[in-house]
Amino acid sequence: VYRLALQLVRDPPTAEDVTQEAFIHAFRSLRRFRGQAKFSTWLFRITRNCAVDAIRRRERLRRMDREAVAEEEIRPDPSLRAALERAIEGLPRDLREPFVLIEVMGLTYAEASTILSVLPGTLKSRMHRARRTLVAAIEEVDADEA
Amino acid sequence: MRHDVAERAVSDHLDDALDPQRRADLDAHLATCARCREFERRARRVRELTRLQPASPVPDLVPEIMDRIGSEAPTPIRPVLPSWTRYAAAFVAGAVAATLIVAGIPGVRRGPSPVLATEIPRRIAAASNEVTAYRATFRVVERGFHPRVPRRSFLADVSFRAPERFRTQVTDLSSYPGPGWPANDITLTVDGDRWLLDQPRGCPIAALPGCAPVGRDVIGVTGRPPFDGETSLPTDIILPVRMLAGSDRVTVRGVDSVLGRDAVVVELAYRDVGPLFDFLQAGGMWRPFSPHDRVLISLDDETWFPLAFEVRAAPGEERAMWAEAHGLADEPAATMLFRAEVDRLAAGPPPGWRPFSAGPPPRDLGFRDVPAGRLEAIEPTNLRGLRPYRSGSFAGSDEVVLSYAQGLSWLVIRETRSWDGPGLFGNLGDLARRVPLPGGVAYYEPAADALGRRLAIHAEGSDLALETNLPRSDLLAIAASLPVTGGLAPAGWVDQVPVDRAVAGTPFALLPTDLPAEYRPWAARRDGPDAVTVWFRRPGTEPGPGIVLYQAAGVGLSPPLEGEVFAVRIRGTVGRYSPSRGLLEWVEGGVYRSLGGGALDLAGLLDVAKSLEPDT
Repeated sequence: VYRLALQLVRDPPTAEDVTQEAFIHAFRSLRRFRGQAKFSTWLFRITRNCAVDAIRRRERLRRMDREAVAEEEIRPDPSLRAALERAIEGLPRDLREPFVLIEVMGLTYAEASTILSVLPGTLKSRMHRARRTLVAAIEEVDADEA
Repeated sequence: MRHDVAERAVSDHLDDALDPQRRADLDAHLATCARCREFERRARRVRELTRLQPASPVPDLVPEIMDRIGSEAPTPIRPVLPSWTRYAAAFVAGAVAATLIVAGIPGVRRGPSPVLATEIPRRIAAASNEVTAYRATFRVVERGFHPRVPRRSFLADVSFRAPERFRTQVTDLSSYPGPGWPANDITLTVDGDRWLLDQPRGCPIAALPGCAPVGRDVIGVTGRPPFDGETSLPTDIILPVRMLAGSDRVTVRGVDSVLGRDAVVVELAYRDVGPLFDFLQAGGMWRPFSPHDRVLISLDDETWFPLAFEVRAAPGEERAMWAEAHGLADEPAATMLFRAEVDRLAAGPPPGWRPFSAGPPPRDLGFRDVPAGRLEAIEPTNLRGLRPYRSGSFAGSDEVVLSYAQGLSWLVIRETRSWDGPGLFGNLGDLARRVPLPGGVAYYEPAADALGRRLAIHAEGSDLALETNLPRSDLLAIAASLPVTGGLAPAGWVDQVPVDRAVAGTPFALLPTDLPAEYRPWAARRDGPDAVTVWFRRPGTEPGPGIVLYQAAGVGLSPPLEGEVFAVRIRGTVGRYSPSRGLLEWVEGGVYRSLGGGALDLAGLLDVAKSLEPDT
């Protein structure tokens, strides 16, 4: 749960908050879990929803506090892995969520579809778009190194 | 096929979401299109970069979550221990082991000198029947708990009266930087059907942000079945019966003198001393140790009790990486990390001793004592020197339980007449193997973790499960005296098959041609048409699974599960190794393979991996 949260919010303290919220929500909602999906899928769905809330809260705060932008001015790490990390972080949420669930967490399309409430066909399309973006990002690094 | 369609097909293919016809179309396109081949290569590179990197460390959020949940609901029955505590708990046993002292020991005869490595296990097994009472105090020193607390010291006092009266009290004598550091005082008390653990809750919140506020956790149990594995007595700390009595030999390092008593020093890896260190996993906070750290145990050469034992850092780069991953300072090879030594011997408690004091409302495990004569139970005629101990049944169940004990040796027989699978009755797992009994068969599994040696018998009209800390030969002799004939388990109850049968028809499965000394194939299991697991063990050594080889066709490398994985070159490709799990994983020709089990370090696993070849 923590790793999913971290991949979605990209910030360890926020990921810790999201993890706590997810478990508290799950505990409160346990009676509503009817076993139609795997327990982990249900818990991931709650985690994803908590992460979305956290991202919204964070973005609201950032809009209010422009100084926070200064935090982002960090010299980029030129390595391939760092470039990929930055590219994943830069993906729009509708591409990053399926990429994290399927590629990073190793879930199936069916499981990701349940968590995100998105049809599997749409997920495939989004995975392709995410991959195309990330392939382009590492291509740039390869080209720079060449 | 257009390039954009081919790229989409590549993406689907990576996720196993491409039907055979589109797969064929894609293959045909890739054969002629360098641009799309390059896209596929880079997409696979993205996956590799994502999955080969170490997973981020996971903070311990359990205390905060449990605190918040606790304020909304009744306290859960069993507290969930934070991972730091679990790590640390492995060392409660260390402290307790340190507390074992030898007093009031009825005559265990002196063995010949010099002691042979192969005789020690046999002598420990023989001594176990004769130990009826102990009282001992150990001094314990632990190094490297935390940078701000580099050295801690404890006094540990242990009292024992056979078969199941036990009390150990660990008193923390250490100096801490402030009040946010809880004293590691621990008390475990057992008296037959009652079990109570009193331990510090959480860990130093001042040093570890994930820790719960300082306090105490007290867990109490009643209605406890005899020799229950989950609420166990750390009897290997008194005499290392489970740890050593089933071995075929030990490594003798020399002689020692502790408190004026002659001792034989044996050496084992930390991973092999589980019963000595892990039996009190319930409580306290202790530093972690690497599975490859060396443990030297000074065994009294008359009684075979551990008079002292110490842990020293293992050599090598792998150990250094393990230490770094656990946030520990550099610990050069042979650094003393932990030592427990007898400080005082006293007379053991008298026969009428009751160790219990008042505790919180206990949780009822549901077992009720009933005299054996009032139970319709199948009883053995050969008890190998054991005597009847407690017997009874569980409320609402037809399961009856008989137990036998003598000194530190014990045996439990559970029986039910309503078992319908889907596995064998009793706690048998991956290493269960069929063994012959007079007129029939049974299924045997070696000791592991908190479980003793186990035997399941599927007889006409009843299923029996035997569990003991006696050697395997004694267990089989007792089972042979039961008035039942064990039959073959119904299809599907036992997954294990002979190794040759498991790998037959699996061309992707390889077998090692070069195993470490004395290792033999033990059991195998088909995990569906495209996956197979094979276990290799040294038959005379317990516990632990030995070497485990898992192979699955058409499976990629899964996301890493823990923080400290690192990449290794293996069989012409790049795989990954997790020091904490002792697991080596790689994908080779579309087949996922993993080697683990805890018996070998990375160098040993790589040697086995190199020798893998198709079964001929």
